[in-house]
Order: sequence, then C-alpha cells, then structure tokens
Amino acid sequence: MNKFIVLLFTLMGMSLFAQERYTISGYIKDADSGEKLIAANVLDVNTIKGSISNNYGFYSLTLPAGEIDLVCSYIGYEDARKTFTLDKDITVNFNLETANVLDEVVITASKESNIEKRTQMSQIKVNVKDIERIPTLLGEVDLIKALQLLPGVQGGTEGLNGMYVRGGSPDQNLIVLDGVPVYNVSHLFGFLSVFNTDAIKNVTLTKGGFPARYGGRLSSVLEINMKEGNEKEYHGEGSIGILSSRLTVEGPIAKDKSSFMVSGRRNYMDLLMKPLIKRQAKRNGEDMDIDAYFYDLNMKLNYKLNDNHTLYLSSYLGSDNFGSDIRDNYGDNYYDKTQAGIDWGNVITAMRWNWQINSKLFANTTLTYSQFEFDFLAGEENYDEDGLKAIEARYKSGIRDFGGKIDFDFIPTPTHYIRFGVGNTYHTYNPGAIVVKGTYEEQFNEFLSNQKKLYSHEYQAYIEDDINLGAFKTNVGLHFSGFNTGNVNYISLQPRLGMRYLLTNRLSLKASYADMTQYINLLTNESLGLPTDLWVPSTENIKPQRSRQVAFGLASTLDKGLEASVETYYKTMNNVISYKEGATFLNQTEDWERKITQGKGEAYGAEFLLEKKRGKLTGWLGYTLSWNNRQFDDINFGKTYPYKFDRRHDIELVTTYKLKDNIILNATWVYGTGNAITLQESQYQFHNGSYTQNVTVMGDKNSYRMPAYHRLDLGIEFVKQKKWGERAWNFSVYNAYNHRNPFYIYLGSDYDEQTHETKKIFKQISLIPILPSFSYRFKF
Amino acid sequence: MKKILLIAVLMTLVSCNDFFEFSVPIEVEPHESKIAPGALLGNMVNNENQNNIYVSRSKGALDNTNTPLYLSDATVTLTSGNDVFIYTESQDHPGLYTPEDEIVFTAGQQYELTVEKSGFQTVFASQTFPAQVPIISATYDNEFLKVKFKDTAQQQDYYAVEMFRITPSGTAPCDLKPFGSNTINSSTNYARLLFSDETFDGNNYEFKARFETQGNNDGTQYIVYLHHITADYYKYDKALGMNNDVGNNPFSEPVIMYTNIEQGYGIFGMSNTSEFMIE
Repeated sequence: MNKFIVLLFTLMGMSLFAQERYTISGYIKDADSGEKLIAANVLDVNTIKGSISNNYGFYSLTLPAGEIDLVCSYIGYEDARKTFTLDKDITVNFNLETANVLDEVVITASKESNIEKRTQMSQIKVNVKDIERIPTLLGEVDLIKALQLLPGVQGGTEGLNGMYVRGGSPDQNLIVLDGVPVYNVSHLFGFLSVFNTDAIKNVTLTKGGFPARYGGRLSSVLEINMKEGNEKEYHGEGSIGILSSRLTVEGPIAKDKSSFMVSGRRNYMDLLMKPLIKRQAKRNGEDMDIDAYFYDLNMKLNYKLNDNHTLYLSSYLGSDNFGSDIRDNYGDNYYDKTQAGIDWGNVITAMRWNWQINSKLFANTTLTYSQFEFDFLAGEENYDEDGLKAIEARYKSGIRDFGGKIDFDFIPTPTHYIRFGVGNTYHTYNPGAIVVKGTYEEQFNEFLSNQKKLYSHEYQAYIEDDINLGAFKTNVGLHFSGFNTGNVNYISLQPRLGMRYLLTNRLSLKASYADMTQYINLLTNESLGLPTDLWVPSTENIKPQRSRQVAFGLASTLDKGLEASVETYYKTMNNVISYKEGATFLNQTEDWERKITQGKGEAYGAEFLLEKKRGKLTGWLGYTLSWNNRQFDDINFGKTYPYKFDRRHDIELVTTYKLKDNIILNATWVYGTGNAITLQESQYQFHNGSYTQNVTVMGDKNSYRMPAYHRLDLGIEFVKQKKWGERAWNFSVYNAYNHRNPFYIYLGSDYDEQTHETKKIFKQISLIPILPSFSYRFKF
Repeated sequence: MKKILLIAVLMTLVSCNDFFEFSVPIEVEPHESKIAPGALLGNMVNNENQNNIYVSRSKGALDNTNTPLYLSDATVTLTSGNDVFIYTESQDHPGLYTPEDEIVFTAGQQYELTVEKSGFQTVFASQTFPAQVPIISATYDNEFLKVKFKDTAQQQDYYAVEMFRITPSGTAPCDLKPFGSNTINSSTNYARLLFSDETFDGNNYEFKARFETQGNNDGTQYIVYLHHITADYYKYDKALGMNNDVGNNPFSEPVIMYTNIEQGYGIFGMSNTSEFMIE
C-alpha cells in the first residue's frame, strides 16, 4: 500500500513537469529549542519561487536545476540563507535564531508573510506571548478572552468565554487542541478557558474562507497546538496569580531525538475559602466541607524515529469541582447531612505519526480521543434512632469521541500545494441521565430517567490546491462529509474557494466562498455558559446545520510597520437550532428533540483591522459593523428577530508601549452595542367563565437593547533578567473607569422609605466592577 | 519588593468589595394601555361558555397600581355580513359582556369583533366559523378514551376534545390526560385536550387520551365533545399554557404571547362542536 502511494505521487509529480527539476525539502526549527516553526517562508531569490512550512515545520520546494539562493524567514527570527547548486533532490533543514528585538515589542494579531501576499482571508494567527501582556481579569491570562478582542469575534455575556464569530453561535466554532475537538472550554463557569497559555505553541483562528481541510462547524475553526518540548535543554516557566498558579517544564528525553512538555495549573479558591467556611460552620454547630477548584494538565511527548518518521503523543486533562458537604451532628451518634456538587471536565488525547514519504509528499496520521462529562449530585442523609435514611439524585451528561484521520501534503511544484485527506469520528452522546436513589420511600429505591445514549459516525474527505500564478493566487477545494446516526445518513459536498489578486506590490484584493455543514449541535441557554450545555447529534428530525459564506476584502502593508485590512462578509445559515419558546434546559424529563426548533440565520457586516507591528508602540485597532438575525417558524410567530448577540458596532483597541527595556505598558479598550434581549412589556387578564388568569406580555423577541458595553483595562509589566532566567511582575486593572456593564436585566422592586411604597423597576445587574490584580511570572 | 507586595495585597482586598452584584435602574418606554378582549365563541353553550366576552385592559410591567384590569363601559360588537350582535356588560361581573340575543353561528361565515372604549385604540379581529366535524365513534376502557372522526384534507385543522361524566348527582368534566406528542392540555379550559391534524391530514383519525374511570360506573354516562377550533384559538391556548409554565423562571426561554387582536392584546377564537354520547 505504501509503495503504491509513493508510486502514485511520484508519477503525479512527474506528469506535472517535463523539464529537469529537483526538490529541496526539510524542516524549519527554532535553533534554541528545536520547536518546529509553522508557516515559515522559504524563497529562492534567483527564481522568486517559494514555499511555506506546514504544521509540522516541513517544507518542500521543487525548482529547475541550477544555482539556488535559498532564504528562510519567520517573524521574530533572523533570516537564514543557504546557497548551493541544485542537481539532485536534497534535504535542507533550517534552524532559525531568535531575532534581537530588545528595542521593540512585536505584538501582532497576524504573523506570517505580509498580509496582502496571503491567499487565505479571514484568518488570524495569534502570538501567544502577546496574549500574556494583555491586561486580564484577575490577572489570569486567557486565550479565548484575547480572541474576543479581534474584529469579527464577539464575547457573549460579560466575563465569560463565549465566542460568537461572524454571527455564529458558540457551538459553531470548531475548537481543536492538537487536532482533537474540545467540547467545553470553560473553567470556573466560563470565567476562564481551559487553555493554559504556557503550554501553547501557536493559535490560528479562521472566520471564513475555510479551506477544504476544515469542516464540521459553520462559523470558525480555532486551531491550538501545544508546545512540543525543548529538544536541546531543560527549561521551565510558570506564574503565581490571585486565582491560580501554573508551572511548565520541558526538555529533551534524548537530545535532538525526543522531548517532553508538561504543564499544570491549579486554582486554589478552595484552599483559601475552606478554613473560613469551616470556622463559620463550626460556630453554627455544623461540620462543613467544600470543593471549589479546577485544575488542568497538558502533556506532550515526541519521538523522532528517523529523518522521515516522528511520533507525537499529546494529552489534556482538566476538571472543575464545586460542591459542599454539610453535617449537622446531634445526640451521641446521630446526624443530618446534605451534599451538593457539580463537576465537569474534558479529557483529550492525540497520537500522531508524521511520515515524510518523499521530498514532495508528507503524511500525518492522527488517532484522537475526546471526552466531556458533566455530573451533578444532590443528596441528603439522616441517621437517627430509626436508622439511616438517604436520598441521592444524580444527573450526568456528556459526549465522547474516538477518531482517526490521515492528511497528506503534496507539493509537486512551487505553483501547486495540494492537501488531501480522509477521517472518521465515532461520537457517543449522553444527553442526560437522572438517577434518584433513596431509602425514604420504596418507590424511590431507584428511579431512572434516562435519555437514551446516541451514537454516530462522522466521516470526511477533502482535497484542496493552493495555486500560485504570480499576482493571482487561489485555493480551490472540495470537502465531502457524511454523518450516520441510527437509520439516518446525511452527506454533503462543500465547495471552497479563496482568491487573492495583487493590485500593487502592497495591496491585494481577496475573495472567498465557503459552504459548511455541521452535524452536531449544542443545546445551550443563551444567557449562561453553564456546563449543563448538551451536545446532541443531527437526527431524523433534526437536520444538519448548513452555512454559505461569501467574503471580499482588501489588504495592504503600509509604512511604519502598519498593516490594514477590510473585509465584508455575508453568511446565511440553515437549520440552526434554538430552544423553543417556554423550553428550559432544566427539564430533563422531556425529550431534548421536542424542546428545540430549527430555523434560519443571516449575518453580514464589515471588519476593519489596522495593526501596528513594529516600534515602541504596537497593537491593533479593530472595528466591526455587523447585522445578525434569526428566523424560526416556532419563535416570535415566525417573524425575523435580532440574535441576542447582534452587535451593530464593536470596537477593540489593544496597545502595548515599551517604556523602557524592562517596563511595558498595556491598555485595552472595548466598546460594543448592547445585547438584544426580551423584556416583559405589560400584562392583562384572561377570563373564561369560571376563572381569571394574569397573562404576561413580553415584547417582541430580542426587541430591547441593553446599554452599550465598554471597558478600559490597563496593565504594567516589570521584567527583570536574573541569573537563573527571567521574572516579571504584572499589575493590571480590569474595567479601570468602573463602568457598570450590563450582565442581565430583571424585573424587580424598590422600597421607597419616604412614601412607604414598593415600586416595580427594571434592574440591571452588573457583575465586574473595577478590579485590580497582579501576577508573577518566571522563566528558567 | 516589599512595597510591591503591599500594593498587590491592598489591590486584592479592594477588589473583593461588591464583587458580584451592583444593580442599576433601567429606563424603558412607558406603556400605552391597550384593550385585551378574551372571546372564545362557539355553538356549545353551557354554564361556562355562554359566548360571553371578557374585556381587560393591559397595564405596563412597571405599573404598581392595584386597579382592576377589567374594562367597563366598552362597546363590544360582533358582526357577520349584515348581522350585528350587540353585547352588554354584566351587572354582576364588571368587564364581562354577554350577547343580548342568542347567536347561531354559521360554518364558513366570517365574524368580526370590535371593541371600543374612549381613551383606548379601538381593537378588531376576525374569524371564520369552522365546519362541524362529526364524531364517528367514541369508546372508553379503563385506560383510554378513543374518539374517531374524519379530518378535512388539505387544510390545517385544530381540535379540542373534552368529556363529561353524567351521573344522577350531576355532570362533571373528566380528567383526560394527553397521550402522544401531538396533544397538549388546554390552558383556557382545563378539561380540554388540544391537537392539530399535522400527522393525519385528510384521514380518518382515532384520537386517544389517557382516562381512568372512577369507582362504580353503573348508571354513569359519558358525553364526548369534539371541538373544531380555529388556528388562532389553538395558538393562543398553546402560548397561554407556555406562559403559565414559564412564570418567572429565568432559565426558560421567553414566551411571546400570541394575539390576533389588531391594535390590542387577547384573543378572538371560535369552535364548532359535535357531541357523542357513550352509553
């Protein structure tokens, strides 16, 4: 089989050119750590032909025989140059040295080659080091909150980790960690994300113009890759903050052959709260214990078998645990005990095998496992002279995936970069099981309300080609996907197209079209990012979601390290899901399919990004003008209404100023149109002969706008080089001018002490006031 | 270093104050009160339904007053072609308007309801009186009530079923419980179950409801009513049920209350009823 593949692609390669050509291939790495560099450029200055490295640092460039002047470049690194005569296929590896950037801070929302040169539009590569400098809530560096500062990406409810990309909902984001989908990204009920930035190597967010290799979600793909571990020497880094601390260690297992990375983080709210709560409970004659913490652990190993084969094993394990246990003792031995708890977490694992089949063909085979589980427990025990009586209710839900895929990169000539692959994922869904056990009543011995488990296969195949014709570049592809669940089989063929035309050497026009299909759905309450959210499949009754997105844009590199881009997009979505009116996710006795309805969505708008990449002052200014509507036959009487997070204006200003070599100032300001919500409007009475009832009248769906959201965050970082490495103190103030941003609005009442009247009033609850914090970082 | 630590600790302490909640009053546009008639009319006349119309007025969500919401001294008129049916307000029940004469509704004919009152916008609604759907058969055992009828093809039809137990001591509604996902409890009349012809359009259909006979059935008769109701009746009833269920639950999706009253709230719905006696 392997020989067949080699033969096939060798023949394909031969057929594409008749002239004598040879292939230069190899890996591009960081010289200090051995980390592979993704999307680094390789250019032959003589022919002006080039290539870029893939996700594993591999590149391939086929050129006519002759003199070669090869330059390898990557932002933040010194260029490397190699000259030689090309008269056979050869391997040329590059180890790039970190550039001396002491006199400037490079903060970017996008790296790679100049923005106007890239075919891919609507994609942002985020530098993890930059994220660490953005002022944060409680000093906790958070990847998702940093992404919310990019145009086209909106945060949902204040402080939480919702990500709403170009009018999509959070379930329409495919979030993958080392190629494995992560189903719940929330720690601390959504106030933090599960991604520990110390363990992350690179982050890419794609909002549109999806190449054919992506599929399975409608609105975005967020690819996060973990660090591979330093191949040369042992290093570590960590931080101590108000909420949590983290520590990362990496190093070689066998130098230049194998390395590891382990990164852990734990929050210690329980350690701080436990003694206080216990003392207070003791005063009330009770024993009380609490759980209130989260932890996560990232691990990665790689082993280079030889020049052509490398194995990777990466894993993430994280859990949140919140609960209390109260015991009230009386008499000599008797007691009452109540307990309640809520736990959730993800486990993911990926095993990858990189195989450089030949100098033009590279394969990556991945086996994946992903699991998300939610568990809620409430129980009561009573022990007295009649013996032990107990009752316990437990609710469990979750999703588990086993997957496998193989992806190929085939680079026959500098004009073509072909990617293709196949994959399959086996999903198991647990949409919620309630188990009640007890001794109070016989019928309570075991009551089971079990929404039956569901199983499905999701499979896909794709092929795409990056075609470089000089001023015109295009990416053409086709994504095929299928979904089999129960007796239903859905298939979908999704064409993809991306184009770039260089109007001048520094200005390009871009366009893209993407057709996407999504087979799994998240049932979620829009207002809260609770982990009770359920993942469920498309079924006979619930059709797959589908979107079509077209985008146009201009991109340019300006003077003084400035880059500017403007993109407009129009996206239609079919079969998007929503809870029906009156439905509640808390009602687990009702079949989930009966609680939801499907409808249409439409989102369009324009995104502007002005980015300054070099100099003492760096950062970006983003502005999004957008419209986002939904239409469901069963909601709002079929009338179109604005989506809750329809945000007409969204502005983000992110700046970093290097005051001195060791002092860095940071400021972030955000502004967003208020969320659209439904408020009670009035009430009247209905009477039917024998009884009268009050009827509450809500305004039209999402017809009320909450006040606008805006916030300024400030930060300052003091960095110092030490004998053992580097340390940094970071002080930040979240919501510096203490703006009372709306969290939610409810109908409440106020008592007027002068008139002694109670007055009904709509009240806005604001969650996060001015909030100073600090953290301490170190590296060794 | 000590200074930095001291500042850090102070900042942390300051940040703990009022962390979780501070509330701000929100201004909303004042509400303009509207007329909200409740008119579910039909050809089944009994103690509960005498084709009366209750007229309420709306009050804003922030209205603190305890003034009754019924609307007196309104002019309530039902018309159909040249026929005009005058309603007068009951002396005993303010806000309840009764027809001066008995109304005989004609299937397929359009009826228009108008309610006027000075200081309010006049409200209108219209309905076409549905055709009667005869019951082919009705039976019960100790588990189910079964009612068979033929649905009219190629039109969206809505139905309500109720049953009364007739004993020497009197007549009382039976407690029917929905069976199958297509059936819901009525919220305008708790004895009724509602359903649509979505799954059996144009066919003979046997409606089933869970029903348990009570005690000794000797001498007991049951009478079954099949109400062919208008779409507006069904939609309003369903929305009202969800509205009641949701209450103040913040975790429920909001229910947008249905109305077919132009310029106002409430409902004008109609039903044509057939009956079947189970001996």
